[in-house]
Order: sequence, then structure tokens, then C-alpha cells
Amino acid sequence: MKLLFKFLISDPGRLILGGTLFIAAIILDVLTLPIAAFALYVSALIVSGAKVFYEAVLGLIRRDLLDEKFLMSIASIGAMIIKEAREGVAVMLFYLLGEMFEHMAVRKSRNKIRSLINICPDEATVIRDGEEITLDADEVLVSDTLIVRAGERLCCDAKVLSGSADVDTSSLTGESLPRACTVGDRLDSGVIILNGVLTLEVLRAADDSGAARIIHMVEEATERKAKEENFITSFSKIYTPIVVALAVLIAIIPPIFRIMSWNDSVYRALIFLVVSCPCALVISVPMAFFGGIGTSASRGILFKGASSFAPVSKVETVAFDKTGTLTNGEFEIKGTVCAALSKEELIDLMASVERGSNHPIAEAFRRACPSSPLADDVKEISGMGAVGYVKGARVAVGNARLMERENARIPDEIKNSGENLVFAAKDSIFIGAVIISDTMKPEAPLAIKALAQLGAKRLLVLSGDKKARAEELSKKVGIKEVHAQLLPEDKYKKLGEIIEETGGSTMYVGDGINDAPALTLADVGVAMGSVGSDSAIESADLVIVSDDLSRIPEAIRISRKTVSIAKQNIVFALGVKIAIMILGAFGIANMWLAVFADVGVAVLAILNSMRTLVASALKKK
Amino acid sequence: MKYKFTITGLDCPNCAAKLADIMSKIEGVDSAKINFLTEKLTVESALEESAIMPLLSSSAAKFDKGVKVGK
Repeated sequence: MKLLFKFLISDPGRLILGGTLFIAAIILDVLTLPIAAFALYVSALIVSGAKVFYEAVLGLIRRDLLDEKFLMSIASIGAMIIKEAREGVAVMLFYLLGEMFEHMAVRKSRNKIRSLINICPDEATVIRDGEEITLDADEVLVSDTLIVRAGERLCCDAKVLSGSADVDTSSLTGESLPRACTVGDRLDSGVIILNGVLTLEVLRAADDSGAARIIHMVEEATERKAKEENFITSFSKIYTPIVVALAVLIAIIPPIFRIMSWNDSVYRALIFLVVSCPCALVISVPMAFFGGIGTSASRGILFKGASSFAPVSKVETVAFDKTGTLTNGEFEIKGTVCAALSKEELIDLMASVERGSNHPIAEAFRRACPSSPLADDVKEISGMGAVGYVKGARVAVGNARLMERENARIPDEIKNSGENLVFAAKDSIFIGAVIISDTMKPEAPLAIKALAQLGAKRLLVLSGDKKARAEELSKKVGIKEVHAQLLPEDKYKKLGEIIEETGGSTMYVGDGINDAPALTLADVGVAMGSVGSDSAIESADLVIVSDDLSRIPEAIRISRKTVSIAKQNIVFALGVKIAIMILGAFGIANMWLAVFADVGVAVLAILNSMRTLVASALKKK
Repeated sequence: MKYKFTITGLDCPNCAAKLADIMSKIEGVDSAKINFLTEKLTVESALEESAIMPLLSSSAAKFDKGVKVGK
């Protein structure tokens, strides 16, 4: 009994009961029993509209005469008074039905987007005092020892202490290929361990982790409103008063001039009240951006705000930083310059000294020559290179300054070759050099091509590197315009000039670590692979979680789709409302059609907004 | 201080804007913003969190019985 009552006062319950009474009333109407029919119409209205009437009263208490519920109540009761009882009840029933659909659509979209960014687990297993215990994720502290097993998600940023496993980073980066990780590797929260067991040391607690930053950024993004949204918000403030004023005019003026009967004019005025709620308008635009923000987040593309979509969609110029952006920041040995030794001997000799160094260039030697023995007594000389002893001979490996220090003279033609060189000297005599280059990201040429196809007219590289090197790389990537040997402040100045020169919006793509000023200056600053850095998030408009350059054209595509959906929604929602008003004013539309179209348009706008999401979900599969 | 709460049960973004307007006029509240899509209420106030929460809840309930403010 209690359950039945509960159902009857719920929205669907009132809809069903009200609907049944409504149908019964229509039958009585057809049977020409007007008084009984009217009684049933009234009870149907009371049943279906009880909540709306109650909230209308609450609105009146607040002295809000333009409250949606109040206007809807006037519309339905007004229809009863002018003996259009059937219409009055239909308005309320359709309104109720439409609201239910609208709530359902909003809830669905919310859940969909939440599930996309719900990348942090609630619980974690940690070892404390030698015992495994399960804690809430936010109770896990920095330097705790975590155990994560196959199928589980990591809740904090952490470093692997023991074990090795394949991990799925797709919820963060959108990258579907699993990544292998082993002792010493750093993992971001939100990754899923696919196999094996990992013991990890917590580097950053859950609240502070990479995933938490992503979630935070996505939530904040809806707050930075696009200009379309600001327009519709200010428009909605004048929309309701204007429509209500029109309703009053239509109700009063024609009967005064005896063009129309009071009943007809009031009926037409009530149609205006039905469409006076700005909800369909107000929800249509933010919903579109909400969809875009969620879609891109699932692909590892984070828009700083809804306001970032328009500039991204209009990008015409793209300036790239080189190292770490077009290249992956890993160095490799490209060749040698040497007379005295063979290529292999030279690299082997240099590698044994470099073994003792942590510099990124030393990595290149380690990869080229993994088996060379470590030289004796290796000392790293900061900013210059390293020195050690091989079979009693003093071997120095490093830059020109180190050679100077060692009193080894580099031949001028080698020194001025324009390549990036690492020199070697043996007992103060120059013996040769290797040519070092950092490797291009494999996806770079395709990404550049895609950008050109999307209408980016001017693509260029801004690099601090030597001219020959920057030009060579740019050629490989497919960019013609190169500005090399720029100091950080030159980069900033050059970017400023470029922004002046070109129309459309200018995008600057950097790694977000030391180019914050350039990121801020550009119309669209893109920081790549740097969720961890606060300064990047602060200064960029777009953050790409992974290192993948192909996400940039993808971001442009998503932004264009989102902006066009937002515009469609405005035109559609506003268009339908105006159409109803015109049809209503000329007596062509009736009330229930008006309410149906009005709430229908809101539901359709919400569904339209989810289109980007559906499209990308399909693509992912 | 800036506080964040969840707010559920609102019907539409228009109502959300109205309620935010009402909340920002509560004595002791400097500003109140509601994000309808993410269901977040952001309030700036000099009061303690424990003092501000009941004020917001009762204001929400007066607006619409179904609206709930939570942590």
C-alpha cells in the first residue's frame, strides 16, 4: 500500500494516473457527458500537475512571476477557464513527459561523461608494518608501499619497486596499446595493471595525482564558458519577459479592436506562455560543450575550457617547438667523424666512459654499445661531459669546452660542421667525434599532413637547436618554415611576430616545461605529455596527456564538431520556439503541439550533443 | 574561503541559475555558483563550512524539495 502510494506520487506514477483519467475524460466527452468529463479533466490536471502547482506557489512566495512552473500553471488552468479543458490537461501531461525525458537524457549524458573520467579506484592495498591492508584511496600516503595486482587500477602516482607488468594507460592517454613497465618506472594513477603483480612506492597521493588533475581540469573546463554560452545565458534573461509580454499583448489587443474573441486571443496567448521557458535554450549550448569536453578527455585531450573550442577550431598557424615535441627527446648516434680509429672502436671507447654518466646523451651510447666495459675512475664534469681511464689512458668525452679544458685541439672544419657533436680526446689529443641527433616521433609526418589537410596554412618550427639540424628534422617531418638557434626569449618574440602577421588563430605546441610564456602568448597553447606539471596546465589551453602528435589534428576535429553542434543547438532550439510562436499567433498551432515541440527540442538538443561522444566511442572499437 | 559542495535534484540549468542567485543573497555568503552539468555548487564565504552547509541546505529545500546539498 505504501509502495503504491509512493509510486503514485512519483513522476511516472502521476503521469500514468493523470493519463488514465485524461483518457477516461475524453471518452466521457465523446459520449457527450460534459459535466462528468469536465470533472475528470480537472482531477487529471490536479493529479498530473500537483507538483508543478506546488512549485509555482513556492515561486510566488519568492515573488518570481516569471517562474517556469508558475507560467505553466497559468497556461493549463487558463485553458480550463476558456473551456479548452482537454488542451489544458494535455499541456500538463506532455510537460511532465517531456521533463522526464529531459532528465533521463541529462542523467545519461552525465553518467557517460563521468564514467569516462572516473579513472581513480576507491580502494588500494598497501603494506604497513609488514601486513597487507586495504585502505580508501585517499588514506594512502606518500612513500607508502602499494601492491597492485592484475586487473586493478593504480590510485596514486607511483614508482615500481619490484615486479614487471604490462599496463593499460588508455583511460589517461587514449592510447590503446599496452605499455611494458618494470622496476624503476614511474606510473600515473589511473593505469590498469594487465598481468603480474607490482609493488610500488607512492610518489604522489591520490588527490594530487595525474588522474586527479585530469578530473579536476575536466570539471573546471565547463566553468570557462564559451561565447555562445554567454550569449544564450544573457539572451535567456530577456527571453522570458519578452515572450510573456507578447502573450499579454496578444491576449488583450485583438479583442479590444474586436478582431478576435477573448477566448481565441487568450488561447493564443497561452501558447506563448507554454514556450516561455528558456530551458531548452539554456541547456542546449553547455550540453554541446560538455559532450566535447568528455569526448576529448576520453582520448587524452584536455580542453582547458569550453571557451578553448572556438580558437582551436579556427587554427590556421601552428608553431612547433622541436626537442621533445617533434622529437621524442631521445638521442641517437648518427655517425662519426674520425681519422685515427674505426667507427666501432671510437664509439666503444667513448661508451665506456659515458657508462658512468646519467646524461640523456649517455643513453644513446648505452643503446649503441650495450656491452662496452665501464672505464676506471669515471668523473662527470657538469655542463661539459665525463672523463675516465681506459687501459691507463685518460679519455675525455664531452663538448668543446671539455676539449679546451683537456688541452685537446679540435680541427676547425669539424668544429664548424653545424652538426651536434660529442668530442673525444685521449691523453689530451683529439681523436674524433660522434654526430648526435634526437629521433623524430614516428607519427610526426602524418600528423603534420593531417594538420595541413584541416586547413592549417602556415606550419613552422621554432628551435633553439643549430640551423642544419633543425632544418633536417623539419624536412623529414614536412615543415618548410624553420627558425633555428633561438634563445627562449627569441622564441617568444618570434611567436609574437607570427601572431601579428597571420589571421585566424595561432597554435603553439610545446612540452610545457620551459615554454610557459609562449604557451600563454599563443591563441592556443598546447602542452604535450605534461599533466604532471602545474605550470603547463596553468598556461596551456589544451593539454595532450600522451606524447602523441596525432592528437592535435584530432583535437581540431573534435573542436569543430563541438562548435558546430553548439551552433546547431542554438539555431534549432530558438528556431522551433519562434516557429511555434508564429504558428500560435496565427492560430495554426495548438497548445499540446506547442508543449510537445518545446520539451522535444530540449531532448533532441541533448541527444545531438552526445553525438561526438558516440562517434568517438565507435572509432575506439 | 571557497567551498565546494555537490548539489543534486535540480530540474534544469535555468533553475540552477535562479537557485545560485538566491544562495548568493544569503547573509554571510559572498558568492554562489552552480554548475548544472557537473552538479557542483561553489560558495565563497567567510563562515565555517559547518555553519554554511545548513544555510545552503535550507535555502535549497525552500526552492524545491527535491534539491539536496551534500559534501
